[in-house]
Amino acid sequence: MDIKLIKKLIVLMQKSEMTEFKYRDDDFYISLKKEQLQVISSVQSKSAIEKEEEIKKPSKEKELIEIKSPMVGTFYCSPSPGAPPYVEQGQDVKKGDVLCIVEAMKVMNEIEAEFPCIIKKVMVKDAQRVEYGTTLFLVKKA
Amino acid sequence: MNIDDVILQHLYDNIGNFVPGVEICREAEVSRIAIWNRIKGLRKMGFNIESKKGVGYKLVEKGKNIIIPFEIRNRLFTDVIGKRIEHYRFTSSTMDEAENLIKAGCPQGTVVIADEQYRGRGRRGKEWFSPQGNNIYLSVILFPEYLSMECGILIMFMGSIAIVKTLSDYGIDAKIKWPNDCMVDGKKMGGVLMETTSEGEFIKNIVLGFGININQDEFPHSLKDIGISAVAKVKHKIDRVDIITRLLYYLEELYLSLGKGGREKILDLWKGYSDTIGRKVVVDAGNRVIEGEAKDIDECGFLLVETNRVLKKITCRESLRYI
Repeated sequence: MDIKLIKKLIVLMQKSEMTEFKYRDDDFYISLKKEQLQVISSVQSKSAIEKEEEIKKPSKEKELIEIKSPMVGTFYCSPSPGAPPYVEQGQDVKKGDVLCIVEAMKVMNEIEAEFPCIIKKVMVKDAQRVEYGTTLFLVKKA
Repeated sequence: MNIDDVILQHLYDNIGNFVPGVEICREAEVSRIAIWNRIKGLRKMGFNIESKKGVGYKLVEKGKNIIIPFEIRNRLFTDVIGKRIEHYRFTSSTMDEAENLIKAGCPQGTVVIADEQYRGRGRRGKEWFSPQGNNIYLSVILFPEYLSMECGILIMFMGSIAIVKTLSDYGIDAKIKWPNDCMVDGKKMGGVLMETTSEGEFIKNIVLGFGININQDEFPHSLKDIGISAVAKVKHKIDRVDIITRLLYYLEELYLSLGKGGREKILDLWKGYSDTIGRKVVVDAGNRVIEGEAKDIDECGFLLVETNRVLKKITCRESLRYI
Protein backbone atom coordinates (compact mmCIF):
# COMPACT_ATOMS: atom_id res chain seq x y z
CA MET A 1 0.00 0.00 0.00
CA ASP A 2 1.51 3.31 -0.89
CA ILE A 3 1.59 6.43 1.19
CA LYS A 4 -0.85 8.23 -1.12
CA LEU A 5 -3.55 5.72 -0.50
CA ILE A 6 -3.03 6.00 3.24
CA LYS A 7 -3.28 9.78 2.98
CA LYS A 8 -6.50 9.43 1.04
CA LEU A 9 -7.89 7.17 3.72
CA ILE A 10 -6.96 9.66 6.40
CA VAL A 11 -8.68 12.48 4.56
CA LEU A 12 -11.76 10.37 3.97
CA MET A 13 -11.87 9.51 7.62
CA GLN A 14 -11.47 13.11 8.71
CA LYS A 15 -14.43 14.04 6.58
CA SER A 16 -16.68 11.19 7.62
CA GLU A 17 -18.36 10.20 10.86
CA MET A 18 -16.25 7.05 10.94
CA THR A 19 -14.01 6.73 13.97
CA GLU A 20 -12.25 3.48 13.27
CA PHE A 21 -11.01 1.70 10.18
CA LYS A 22 -9.20 -1.61 9.87
CA TYR A 23 -7.99 -3.46 6.84
CA ARG A 24 -6.00 -6.65 6.47
CA ASP A 25 -4.74 -8.69 3.58
CA ASP A 26 -1.92 -11.19 3.08
CA ASP A 27 0.92 -8.83 3.63
CA PHE A 28 -0.63 -5.71 4.94
CA TYR A 29 -2.51 -4.49 7.97
CA ILE A 30 -3.68 -1.00 8.71
CA SER A 31 -5.70 0.38 11.56
CA LEU A 32 -6.82 3.98 11.78
CA LYS A 33 -8.56 5.46 14.77
CA LYS A 34 -10.04 8.87 15.37
CA GLU A 35 -10.88 10.52 18.66
CA GLN A 36 -14.39 11.78 18.29
CA LEU A 37 -13.68 15.28 19.48
CA GLN A 38 -10.33 15.49 17.69
CA VAL A 39 -8.82 16.46 21.02
CA ILE A 40 -5.20 17.39 20.82
CA SER A 41 -3.82 18.45 24.13
CA SER A 42 -0.09 18.57 23.83
CA VAL A 43 -0.41 22.29 24.24
CA GLN A 44 0.31 22.69 27.93
CA SER A 45 3.99 21.87 28.03
CA LYS A 46 5.01 24.21 25.24
CA SER A 47 3.20 27.32 26.21
CA ALA A 48 1.78 26.87 29.65
CA ILE A 49 3.47 30.02 30.85
CA GLU A 50 1.75 32.19 28.32
CA LYS A 51 -1.68 30.84 28.86
CA GLU A 52 -2.85 31.74 32.31
CA GLU A 53 -6.49 31.70 31.41
CA GLU A 54 -6.29 28.11 30.31
CA ILE A 55 -4.56 27.01 33.46
CA LYS A 56 -7.42 28.48 35.45
CA LYS A 57 -9.90 26.53 33.40
CA PRO A 58 -8.21 23.24 32.66
CA SER A 59 -11.50 21.59 31.77
CA LYS A 60 -11.94 23.93 28.82
CA GLU A 61 -8.48 23.33 27.51
CA LYS A 62 -9.33 19.95 26.17
CA GLU A 63 -11.79 21.39 23.74
CA LEU A 64 -9.15 23.49 22.07
CA ILE A 65 -7.82 22.35 18.76
CA GLU A 66 -4.48 23.31 17.31
CA ILE A 67 -4.22 24.59 13.78
CA LYS A 68 -0.74 23.82 12.58
CA SER A 69 1.51 25.09 9.84
CA PRO A 70 1.64 22.74 6.85
CA MET A 71 5.08 24.01 5.90
CA VAL A 72 8.27 25.76 6.87
CA GLY A 73 7.96 29.47 6.26
CA THR A 74 7.02 32.88 7.53
CA PHE A 75 3.70 33.56 9.20
CA TYR A 76 1.70 36.59 8.13
CA CYS A 77 -1.48 37.60 9.89
CA SER A 78 -2.65 39.95 7.11
CA PRO A 79 -2.83 39.93 3.30
CA SER A 80 -0.26 42.70 2.93
CA PRO A 81 1.87 44.76 5.29
CA GLY A 82 -0.25 47.24 7.23
CA ALA A 83 -3.56 45.63 6.28
CA PRO A 84 -5.92 44.46 9.04
CA PRO A 85 -5.37 40.85 10.16
CA TYR A 86 -7.44 38.05 8.68
CA VAL A 87 -8.59 36.94 12.12
CA GLU A 88 -8.28 38.11 15.69
CA GLN A 89 -8.67 36.48 19.04
CA GLY A 90 -12.28 35.81 19.89
CA GLN A 91 -13.40 35.93 16.28
CA ASP A 92 -15.90 33.50 14.81
CA VAL A 93 -14.75 31.96 11.57
CA LYS A 94 -16.63 29.91 9.02
CA LYS A 95 -15.32 26.88 7.20
CA GLY A 96 -13.20 28.11 4.33
CA ASP A 97 -12.34 31.49 5.88
CA VAL A 98 -8.72 32.47 5.48
CA LEU A 99 -6.88 32.44 8.81
CA CYS A 100 -3.41 33.56 7.79
CA ILE A 101 -0.68 33.28 5.20
CA VAL A 102 2.44 31.17 5.51
CA GLU A 103 5.08 32.08 2.97
CA ALA A 104 8.04 30.05 1.87
CA MET A 105 10.28 31.01 -1.02
CA LYS A 106 7.77 33.57 -2.24
CA VAL A 107 4.96 31.01 -2.30
CA MET A 108 2.07 32.61 -0.51
CA ASN A 109 -0.10 29.97 1.09
CA GLU A 110 -3.44 30.95 2.55
CA ILE A 111 -4.51 28.65 5.32
CA GLU A 112 -8.23 28.07 5.46
CA ALA A 113 -10.38 26.96 8.37
CA GLU A 114 -11.33 23.32 7.92
CA PHE A 115 -14.36 23.73 10.15
CA PRO A 116 -16.34 26.58 11.76
CA CYS A 117 -14.57 27.70 14.93
CA ILE A 118 -13.73 30.48 17.34
CA ILE A 119 -10.17 31.75 17.46
CA LYS A 120 -9.06 31.34 21.06
CA LYS A 121 -5.48 32.34 20.65
CA VAL A 122 -3.07 33.38 17.95
CA MET A 123 0.11 31.52 18.84
CA VAL A 124 2.63 33.26 16.59
CA LYS A 125 3.52 36.83 15.79
CA ASP A 126 3.32 38.48 12.40
CA ALA A 127 6.40 37.80 10.24
CA GLN A 128 7.58 35.07 12.60
CA ARG A 129 9.34 32.02 11.19
CA VAL A 130 7.40 28.81 11.63
CA GLU A 131 8.34 25.18 11.18
CA TYR A 132 6.32 22.33 9.79
CA GLY A 133 3.80 21.53 12.52
CA THR A 134 4.17 24.76 14.51
CA THR A 135 0.87 25.59 16.20
CA LEU A 136 -0.50 28.76 14.65
CA PHE A 137 -3.88 29.04 16.35
CA LEU A 138 -5.80 27.49 19.18
CA VAL A 139 -9.42 27.28 18.21
CA LYS A 140 -12.64 25.95 19.59
CA LYS A 141 -15.07 24.18 17.34
CA ALA A 142 -18.22 26.21 16.89
CA MET B 1 -18.49 30.20 -28.89
CA ASN B 2 -19.03 33.92 -29.06
CA ILE B 3 -19.76 35.71 -32.32
CA ASP B 4 -16.14 36.70 -32.93
CA ASP B 5 -15.08 33.08 -32.54
CA VAL B 6 -17.74 31.88 -34.98
CA ILE B 7 -16.63 34.44 -37.56
CA LEU B 8 -12.96 33.63 -37.06
CA GLN B 9 -13.56 29.89 -37.27
CA HIS B 10 -15.37 30.34 -40.55
CA LEU B 11 -12.67 32.59 -41.96
CA TYR B 12 -9.92 30.23 -40.79
CA ASP B 13 -11.72 27.27 -42.41
CA ASN B 14 -11.50 29.17 -45.70
CA ILE B 15 -8.23 30.99 -45.16
CA GLY B 16 -7.02 32.78 -48.29
CA ASN B 17 -10.47 32.63 -49.90
CA PHE B 18 -13.47 34.88 -49.82
CA VAL B 19 -16.45 33.76 -47.78
CA PRO B 20 -19.86 35.25 -48.55
CA GLY B 21 -21.07 37.50 -45.78
CA VAL B 22 -24.46 35.84 -45.83
CA GLU B 23 -22.85 32.50 -44.96
CA ILE B 24 -21.22 34.00 -41.89
CA CYS B 25 -24.54 35.60 -40.95
CA ARG B 26 -26.18 32.20 -41.01
CA GLU B 27 -23.41 30.62 -38.90
CA ALA B 28 -23.34 33.39 -36.31
CA GLU B 29 -27.08 34.03 -36.39
CA VAL B 30 -26.70 37.79 -36.55
CA SER B 31 -27.33 40.51 -39.14
CA ARG B 32 -24.95 41.58 -41.91
CA ILE B 33 -24.39 44.91 -40.22
CA ALA B 34 -23.44 43.14 -37.00
CA ILE B 35 -20.95 41.00 -38.91
CA TRP B 36 -19.45 44.08 -40.50
CA ASN B 37 -19.01 45.69 -37.08
CA ARG B 38 -17.36 42.54 -35.75
CA ILE B 39 -15.02 42.42 -38.74
CA LYS B 40 -13.95 45.99 -37.97
CA GLY B 41 -13.27 44.93 -34.39
CA LEU B 42 -11.22 41.93 -35.50
CA ARG B 43 -9.14 44.12 -37.81
CA LYS B 44 -8.46 46.42 -34.90
CA MET B 45 -7.16 43.44 -32.95
CA GLY B 46 -4.70 42.83 -35.76
CA PHE B 47 -6.37 40.34 -38.11
CA ASN B 48 -5.70 40.95 -41.78
CA ILE B 49 -9.22 40.62 -43.23
CA GLU B 50 -10.11 41.83 -46.73
CA SER B 51 -13.65 42.69 -47.70
CA LYS B 52 -15.15 42.96 -51.18
CA LYS B 53 -18.59 44.29 -51.78
CA GLY B 54 -20.91 41.59 -53.04
CA VAL B 55 -18.26 38.88 -52.52
CA GLY B 56 -17.57 38.70 -48.83
CA TYR B 57 -14.64 38.52 -46.45
CA LYS B 58 -11.23 36.91 -46.66
CA LEU B 59 -8.73 36.17 -43.94
CA VAL B 60 -5.46 36.85 -45.75
CA GLU B 61 -3.14 35.16 -43.26
CA LYS B 62 -3.16 33.60 -39.81
CA GLY B 63 -3.30 35.97 -36.90
CA LYS B 64 0.01 36.88 -35.33
CA ASN B 65 0.61 38.07 -31.81
CA ILE B 66 -3.10 38.47 -31.12
CA ILE B 67 -3.68 37.31 -27.58
CA ILE B 68 -7.27 36.18 -27.57
CA PRO B 69 -8.56 32.81 -26.34
CA PHE B 70 -9.51 31.74 -29.89
CA GLU B 71 -5.94 32.11 -31.15
CA ILE B 72 -4.41 30.41 -28.14
CA ARG B 73 -6.89 27.54 -28.16
CA ASN B 74 -6.30 26.94 -31.86
CA ARG B 75 -2.60 26.48 -31.33
CA LEU B 76 -2.59 24.78 -27.97
CA PHE B 77 -1.61 21.15 -27.61
CA THR B 78 -2.38 20.43 -23.98
CA ASP B 79 -5.02 18.28 -22.32
CA VAL B 80 -5.57 19.94 -18.97
CA ILE B 81 -4.04 23.40 -18.91
CA GLY B 82 -5.92 25.85 -21.08
CA LYS B 83 -9.20 23.92 -21.01
CA ARG B 84 -10.77 27.25 -20.33
CA ILE B 85 -9.13 30.57 -21.18
CA GLU B 86 -10.29 33.89 -19.80
CA HIS B 87 -8.96 37.04 -21.36
CA TYR B 88 -9.03 40.57 -19.97
CA ARG B 89 -7.94 43.70 -21.81
CA PHE B 90 -7.36 45.54 -18.58
CA THR B 91 -7.48 44.22 -15.05
CA SER B 92 -5.90 44.76 -11.66
CA SER B 93 -4.05 41.46 -11.89
CA THR B 94 -4.61 38.04 -13.42
CA MET B 95 -4.05 36.72 -9.88
CA ASP B 96 -7.13 38.62 -8.67
CA GLU B 97 -9.21 37.36 -11.59
CA ALA B 98 -8.05 33.81 -10.94
CA GLU B 99 -9.11 34.08 -7.32
CA ASN B 100 -12.58 35.21 -8.42
CA LEU B 101 -12.83 32.38 -10.93
CA ILE B 102 -11.97 29.84 -8.24
CA LYS B 103 -14.67 31.26 -6.01
CA ALA B 104 -17.18 31.13 -8.87
CA GLY B 105 -16.10 27.55 -9.65
CA CYS B 106 -13.87 26.87 -12.65
CA PRO B 107 -12.16 23.73 -13.94
CA GLN B 108 -8.57 22.81 -13.23
CA GLY B 109 -6.25 24.21 -15.87
CA THR B 110 -8.18 27.44 -16.35
CA VAL B 111 -5.86 30.10 -17.75
CA VAL B 112 -6.25 33.81 -17.17
CA ILE B 113 -4.49 36.29 -19.44
CA ALA B 114 -4.42 40.07 -19.55
CA ASP B 115 -3.17 42.69 -21.98
CA GLU B 116 -2.49 45.14 -19.23
CA GLN B 117 -2.53 45.14 -15.44
CA TYR B 118 -2.83 48.16 -13.23
CA ARG B 119 -1.78 46.36 -10.10
CA GLY B 120 0.47 43.56 -11.34
CA ARG B 121 1.58 41.65 -8.30
CA GLY B 122 5.00 40.68 -7.13
CA ARG B 123 5.70 39.24 -3.75
CA ARG B 124 4.11 40.73 -0.60
CA GLY B 125 2.64 43.84 -2.15
CA LYS B 126 5.53 44.51 -4.53
CA GLU B 127 4.52 45.54 -8.03
CA TRP B 128 5.18 43.86 -11.35
CA PHE B 129 5.56 46.39 -14.17
CA SER B 130 2.69 45.51 -16.53
CA PRO B 131 2.23 47.95 -19.42
CA GLN B 132 -0.20 47.27 -22.24
CA GLY B 133 0.21 44.88 -25.09
CA ASN B 134 3.83 43.83 -25.11
CA ASN B 135 4.33 41.23 -22.48
CA ILE B 136 2.77 38.18 -20.93
CA TYR B 137 0.68 38.35 -17.81
CA LEU B 138 -0.88 34.99 -17.21
CA SER B 139 -2.18 32.88 -14.36
CA VAL B 140 -2.93 29.17 -14.29
CA ILE B 141 -5.38 27.60 -11.86
CA LEU B 142 -4.58 24.10 -10.56
CA PHE B 143 -6.40 21.79 -8.18
CA PRO B 144 -3.90 19.05 -7.32
CA GLU B 145 -5.15 15.92 -5.60
CA TYR B 146 -3.69 15.14 -2.20
CA LEU B 147 -0.56 17.17 -2.74
CA SER B 148 1.08 18.23 0.49
CA MET B 149 2.07 21.84 0.88
CA GLU B 150 5.72 20.88 1.36
CA CYS B 151 5.76 19.12 -2.00
CA GLY B 152 3.56 21.70 -3.67
CA ILE B 153 6.17 24.41 -3.56
CA LEU B 154 7.88 22.55 -6.36
CA ILE B 155 5.08 23.63 -8.67
CA MET B 156 6.59 27.09 -8.54
CA PHE B 157 9.86 25.55 -9.69
CA MET B 158 7.98 24.00 -12.59
CA GLY B 159 6.82 27.47 -13.54
CA SER B 160 10.38 28.76 -13.80
CA ILE B 161 11.51 25.66 -15.69
CA ALA B 162 8.65 26.11 -18.17
CA ILE B 163 9.69 29.73 -18.78
CA VAL B 164 13.34 28.78 -19.33
CA LYS B 165 12.38 25.99 -21.74
CA THR B 166 10.10 28.35 -23.67
CA LEU B 167 12.78 31.03 -23.96
CA SER B 168 15.29 28.41 -24.98
CA ASP B 169 13.08 27.60 -28.01
CA TYR B 170 13.89 31.15 -29.09
CA GLY B 171 17.59 30.70 -28.54
CA ILE B 172 17.54 32.67 -25.32
CA ASP B 173 19.72 31.25 -22.61
CA ALA B 174 17.90 32.07 -19.39
CA LYS B 175 19.11 31.00 -15.97
CA ILE B 176 17.03 30.59 -12.85
CA LYS B 177 18.04 32.58 -9.84
CA TRP B 178 16.81 30.92 -6.67
CA PRO B 179 14.01 30.43 -6.19
CA ASN B 180 12.21 31.49 -9.36
CA ASP B 181 13.55 34.52 -11.21
CA CYS B 182 14.38 33.92 -14.86
CA MET B 183 17.48 35.94 -15.64
CA VAL B 184 19.17 36.78 -18.92
CA ASP B 185 22.49 38.62 -18.89
CA GLY B 186 21.99 39.18 -15.17
CA LYS B 187 18.66 40.95 -15.72
CA LYS B 188 15.17 39.74 -15.02
CA MET B 189 13.13 38.56 -18.01
CA GLY B 190 10.48 36.61 -16.19
CA GLY B 191 9.13 35.70 -12.83
CA VAL B 192 6.69 33.32 -11.22
CA LEU B 193 4.34 34.07 -8.39
CA MET B 194 2.55 31.26 -6.65
CA GLU B 195 -0.41 31.64 -4.34
CA THR B 196 -2.02 28.64 -2.77
CA THR B 197 -4.78 27.79 -0.40
CA SER B 198 -4.42 24.87 1.93
CA GLU B 199 -6.82 23.03 4.16
CA GLY B 200 -5.02 21.01 6.77
CA GLU B 201 -2.08 19.21 5.24
CA PHE B 202 -3.11 19.43 1.63
CA ILE B 203 -3.29 22.04 -1.06
CA LYS B 204 -6.77 23.01 -2.14
CA ASN B 205 -5.92 25.25 -5.02
CA ILE B 206 -2.97 26.88 -6.70
CA VAL B 207 -2.74 30.03 -8.76
CA LEU B 208 0.53 30.12 -10.63
CA GLY B 209 1.23 33.54 -12.08
CA PHE B 210 3.68 34.34 -14.86
CA GLY B 211 5.11 37.67 -15.85
CA ILE B 212 7.42 37.57 -18.85
CA ASN B 213 8.88 40.57 -20.64
CA ILE B 214 8.54 39.83 -24.34
CA ASN B 215 8.23 42.79 -26.71
CA GLN B 216 8.90 45.57 -24.24
CA ASP B 217 11.26 48.01 -26.02
CA GLU B 218 11.92 50.31 -23.16
CA PHE B 219 11.81 50.11 -19.43
CA PRO B 220 11.17 52.96 -17.03
CA HIS B 221 14.29 54.41 -15.52
CA SER B 222 13.96 52.49 -12.25
CA LEU B 223 13.89 49.12 -14.05
CA LYS B 224 16.40 49.76 -16.83
CA ASP B 225 19.30 48.05 -15.13
CA ILE B 226 17.35 45.13 -13.70
CA GLY B 227 14.81 44.26 -16.40
CA ILE B 228 15.26 42.82 -19.88
CA SER B 229 12.88 41.82 -22.62
CA ALA B 230 13.04 38.83 -24.98
CA VAL B 231 12.93 41.16 -27.99
CA ALA B 232 16.29 42.60 -26.97
CA LYS B 233 17.85 39.17 -27.54
CA VAL B 234 16.04 37.90 -30.64
CA LYS B 235 15.88 41.30 -32.38
CA HIS B 236 12.43 40.81 -33.87
CA LYS B 237 8.91 41.06 -32.54
CA ILE B 238 7.82 37.80 -30.96
CA ASP B 239 4.39 36.21 -31.34
CA ARG B 240 3.16 36.06 -27.78
CA VAL B 241 0.55 33.44 -28.65
CA ASP B 242 3.41 31.12 -29.55
CA ILE B 243 5.14 31.87 -26.24
CA ILE B 244 1.94 31.14 -24.32
CA THR B 245 1.24 27.83 -26.08
CA ARG B 246 4.81 26.64 -25.49
CA LEU B 247 4.77 27.78 -21.87
CA LEU B 248 1.52 25.94 -21.16
CA TYR B 249 2.75 22.82 -22.93
CA TYR B 250 5.95 22.63 -20.89
CA LEU B 251 4.08 23.40 -17.70
CA GLU B 252 1.54 20.66 -18.31
CA GLU B 253 4.26 18.14 -19.12
CA LEU B 254 5.91 18.85 -15.77
CA TYR B 255 2.67 19.00 -13.82
CA LEU B 256 1.43 15.66 -15.07
CA SER B 257 4.78 14.05 -14.25
CA LEU B 258 4.56 15.08 -10.60
CA GLY B 259 2.86 11.95 -9.36
CA LYS B 260 5.25 9.61 -11.15
CA GLY B 261 8.55 10.24 -9.43
CA GLY B 262 8.56 13.65 -10.99
CA ARG B 263 9.82 15.32 -7.87
CA GLU B 264 13.46 14.35 -8.40
CA LYS B 265 13.14 15.16 -12.07
CA ILE B 266 11.92 18.66 -11.29
CA LEU B 267 14.68 19.29 -8.77
CA ASP B 268 17.26 18.01 -11.26
CA LEU B 269 15.89 20.15 -14.08
CA TRP B 270 15.87 23.15 -11.82
CA LYS B 271 19.48 22.55 -10.82
CA GLY B 272 20.42 22.23 -14.47
CA TYR B 273 18.84 25.55 -15.36
CA SER B 274 19.90 27.46 -12.28
CA ASP B 275 23.11 29.40 -11.92
CA THR B 276 22.71 29.93 -8.18
CA ILE B 277 24.35 26.78 -6.94
CA GLY B 278 28.09 27.19 -6.55
CA ARG B 279 27.84 30.98 -6.38
CA LYS B 280 28.87 33.24 -3.57
CA VAL B 281 25.71 34.85 -2.33
CA VAL B 282 24.48 37.39 0.19
CA VAL B 283 21.06 36.81 1.63
CA ASP B 284 19.40 39.70 3.36
CA ALA B 285 17.00 38.26 5.88
CA GLY B 286 15.94 41.59 7.33
CA ASN B 287 17.34 41.09 10.80
CA ARG B 288 20.40 39.11 9.73
CA VAL B 289 22.64 38.87 6.70
CA ILE B 290 23.99 35.53 5.56
CA GLU B 291 26.98 35.46 3.29
CA GLY B 292 28.44 32.29 1.88
CA GLU B 293 28.40 29.76 -0.90
CA ALA B 294 25.12 28.40 -2.28
CA LYS B 295 25.71 24.64 -2.02
CA ASP B 296 22.50 22.98 -3.05
CA ILE B 297 18.74 22.95 -2.66
CA ASP B 298 17.05 20.43 -0.40
CA GLU B 299 14.16 18.17 -1.38
CA CYS B 300 11.65 20.95 -0.76
CA GLY B 301 13.60 23.47 -2.78
CA PHE B 302 15.06 25.46 0.11
CA LEU B 303 18.50 26.89 -0.56
CA LEU B 304 21.42 25.61 1.48
CA VAL B 305 24.13 28.22 2.03
CA GLU B 306 27.45 27.36 3.64
CA THR B 307 29.03 29.90 5.93
CA ASN B 308 32.01 29.00 8.09
CA ARG B 309 31.43 25.32 7.29
CA VAL B 310 27.89 25.47 8.58
CA LEU B 311 24.98 24.82 6.22
CA LYS B 312 22.11 27.22 6.64
CA LYS B 313 18.69 26.65 5.16
CA ILE B 314 17.19 29.71 3.50
CA THR B 315 13.42 29.66 3.54
CA CYS B 316 11.75 32.98 3.08
CA ARG B 317 11.56 36.73 3.26
CA GLU B 318 15.14 36.81 2.13
CA SER B 319 16.34 38.59 -0.94
CA LEU B 320 19.29 36.99 -2.64
CA ARG B 321 22.22 38.71 -4.31
CA TYR B 322 25.21 37.26 -6.12
CA ILE B 323 28.67 38.54 -5.17
